[in-house]
This record gives sequence, structure tokens and C-alpha cells, in this order.
Amino acid sequence: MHWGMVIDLRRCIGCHACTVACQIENNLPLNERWNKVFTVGPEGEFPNVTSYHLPRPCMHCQDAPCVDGCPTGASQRRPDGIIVVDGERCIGCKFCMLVCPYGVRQFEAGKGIVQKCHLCYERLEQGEMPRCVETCQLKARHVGDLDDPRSEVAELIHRANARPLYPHLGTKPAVYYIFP
Amino acid sequence: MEDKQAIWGGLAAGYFFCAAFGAMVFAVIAFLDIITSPLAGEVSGPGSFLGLAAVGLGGLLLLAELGNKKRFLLVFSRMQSIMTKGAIFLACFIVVAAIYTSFWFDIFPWAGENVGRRIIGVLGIIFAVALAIYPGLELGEARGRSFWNGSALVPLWLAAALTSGLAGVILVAAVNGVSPAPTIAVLDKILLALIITQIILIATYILGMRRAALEEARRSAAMLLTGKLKNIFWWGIVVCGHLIPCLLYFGGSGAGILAIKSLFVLAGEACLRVAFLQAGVRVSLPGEDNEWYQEEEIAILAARLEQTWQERAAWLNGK
Repeated sequence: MHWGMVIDLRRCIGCHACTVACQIENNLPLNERWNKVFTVGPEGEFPNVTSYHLPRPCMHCQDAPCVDGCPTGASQRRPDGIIVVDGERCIGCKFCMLVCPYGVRQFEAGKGIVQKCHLCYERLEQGEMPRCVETCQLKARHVGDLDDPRSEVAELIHRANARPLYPHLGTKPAVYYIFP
Repeated sequence: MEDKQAIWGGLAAGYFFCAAFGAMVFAVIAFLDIITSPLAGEVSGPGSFLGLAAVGLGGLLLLAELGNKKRFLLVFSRMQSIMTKGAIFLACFIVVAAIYTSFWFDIFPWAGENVGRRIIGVLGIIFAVALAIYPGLELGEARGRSFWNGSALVPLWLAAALTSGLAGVILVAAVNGVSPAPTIAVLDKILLALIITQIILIATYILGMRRAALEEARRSAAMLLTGKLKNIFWWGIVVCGHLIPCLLYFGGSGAGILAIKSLFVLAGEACLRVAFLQAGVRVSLPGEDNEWYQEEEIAILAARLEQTWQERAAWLNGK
């Protein structure tokens, strides 16, 4: 079992509903967002102009630099592939923030620890979808088992040529994007 | 897009500088002791104490950088992490350097015991070199920050650490009035060779990054040469840390000149750590420049919202 996500950028309209849903689900303050949405473009030259929105959750990398670098073992990779942070073990050294090439980790100054998207693993364990996936009205987000070739995400990756961000960094992300 | 690396700031740079400076001051002192240099007795006590104090101060800066200081002992709990290895080197060095330093002070009954002290000194040199090397490897782990190339950063920072260590020993000798000793003249020449080596290493590093294929490495190099960090690079590293010390070699080898030269070298080494740490920007994600709201804007909005809520609450409660 290896949880992964496919985000269809052709469908995302940049409504930021996933960002807000994540904040509500995890009781985050207004200025803390585990799931940002960036707007790319408009780029190119008329008539070949493109613009799209790029949601950026944690990539839950298989070869996660944050897990390798964590000096306390607070950053862990669960057997199902989800990278989680044990708040009880984090010392707030911010090394994981430094080594994460996607900049997904956030320092919570109040608690003195680092936190990030955990793919709503508690909801997944109960058979529910992560809050961002459930909230997305355009059905741009899909979550499933990357190890199962018949799963929706595996089929989408195969059919739509979905690819991760910056694969050359060698972190093997579990979040794939279908680019427009 | 990051305009500079802001996750690890001045405290971390201070730690890197203090740890490297202190470790190498100690290493030079212990080396002089092992080769039974006649200078050893005169600068070893204050020198090794300076090294120990500098590394101790670095350790405190590192502790201050932690978000959750009460749990700092957990940093020793995962040996696979380069940070854990660094923390172990730091702790072992402090213990070994403290024992070694105690040999130079008469208040301890074992003072003057040469063989034991030199054995401890060898052990201390090993930990000192490890302490000077590991930050380069640590920063090299950041795959998205290609300006920090571990294999190139390690020799550069090791040379920088050795330069600052030699400058520290020369400074101690100048302050204690033993600068006319022939050993100091030799150390002074080695310092010049190291300064020149470092100029070559820095130039190679920056020019290599400037021509690198990865966009963030080029951005980092540009930031140092012409961007936000140009003042600290040109004035701090190049002029203060290298050019002025080189020019001071024409001013003779009096105690005052040696002390001033050493201080300039140390200032330059501190600037090197700060500038290289800040220059390591992360690879930018598509559209990161067009973020809907920047962090600062959201913080301002949140503060304004909170203030409005407080005003409404006060109005509702009739205050």
C-alpha cells in the first residue's frame, strides 16, 4: 500500500477551497497554509498562451530528505508511504524545512515545532478522503494506492502522463500532476 | 521564490563560525603541543580555553536556534542523521577540549602531565576536524538548494575554518606578547598561504555556480556578486577578510599589525558563513512568484481581523 495523489491541473481553477478546507480541518491559523495554490502564467506568446493553477501539498516523497535529515526521528515515513511529523519529538531545528525542495513545511512558532500536510491519514484510515480531495468541487484531486495498477490514481498517471514536480531531485514524490 | 535563505539565520551562521573557529584554534594549539613547539606553553592555555569557549558559545547559539529547547537531548537520538552526527562531534569536542584545557591550569592536580595531554590533544584534533567538516555535508543534503554543493563546500569551509583558527592563535600570541616567536612567523606565513588558497576556492566556487545549469545556483551566485548580498560579499569577505589582511603583510609583523590582521581575517570568515548560508536559495516552484497572498500580507490581514474582532467584542460587551 502506497498512498499517492494525482492533481489534474486542467481542472483546477485556483479557488483556494482546498487551502481553506485544510486550514479548517487542521485548525490552522490564517497565515499558516499547508496546501498553497500558485498561479502559473499567463506565459507564452499569443495565440499560444497558457495559465494554470498549481496546488502544492506535501509530496510525501519515497526518498524524503526531511525524514533522512531529521535528527530526532520526528519526521517519519509510515508503512503506507505518508510522511508525518511527531509533534512530541520535534525540537524545531528546522533542518527538514531547509532540505525540503518543495518548501512545504511550516514552523509553528507558538509550539516551537514544524508541521505539514499529512494527507489526512486519520480520515484515510476511516475510509474517508482527505479534506482537500473531498472539498475540491472540480474533482481535480484524486487519492489512491500507487502500488495498485488498477487504482484510479495509477490509471490516471498512466493514461494522462502525470508526472511529479522536479523528478531530477531524486526524492520520488508521491504527488503527480497532470499538466495542461 | 526565495529572495534569500531565511530558515536558518544569524544564530546558525554564528554557530557555524564559532564552532569552526574554536575547533581550529584548538587543533592548531594541540598540534603545536604534539610537535613540542617551544611556543606551545605560552599560548596553549589561553588558546585552548579560547577554542573551548568559542565552541561552547556556538553550542549555545545552536540551542537558541531550536524551537523547542527543552527537548534538545533528542538531537542525539538518530545516528543516521547528519545533524545527530554533528551534535555528537560537538559534545565530544567540548568534553575532550575541556579535559585538554585543564592540563594547562595549575589548579588541577594533573597539570603538566605531558603524555596524557598529548593523547587527549590528538583525540581533540580528530573531533575538531569533524566539527569543521560536517556543516558542509549538512548543507549539501539540501537537494533543492544546489548552491550548497557538499563536495565543494567541505574543502572551502575547512580552509575557512583553518584560516580562522590560525588567525585566532596569532591573535592570542599577539595579545600575550609572544608574537616575536619564530613559530608565530611560520604560522603567519601559513595564514597568508591559506588566505590565497581561500581566494582561489571562493572564486572557483562562485564562478562554478554562476555557470551552473541549475537556475537556483545561478540565482545564488548573482545574489552574492550583484544582488542582495553584494555588500557582505565584496566588503565583508573580499575586502575585509582577504584584501586588507594581504595588504597588512606589507606593514611588518609587529604585535599590533598581527592582531589587526587576525581580527580582519576573523571578520571576513564570519561574513563568509553568513553570506553562504543566506545565499542558498531553494529551487522555485512553478508560479511561486504569483502567490495569491504573500506571508507578510496574510499576517497583516490576520492582525487586522483580530483587532476588528476585539473591537466588536468590546462594543458588544458595552465597553
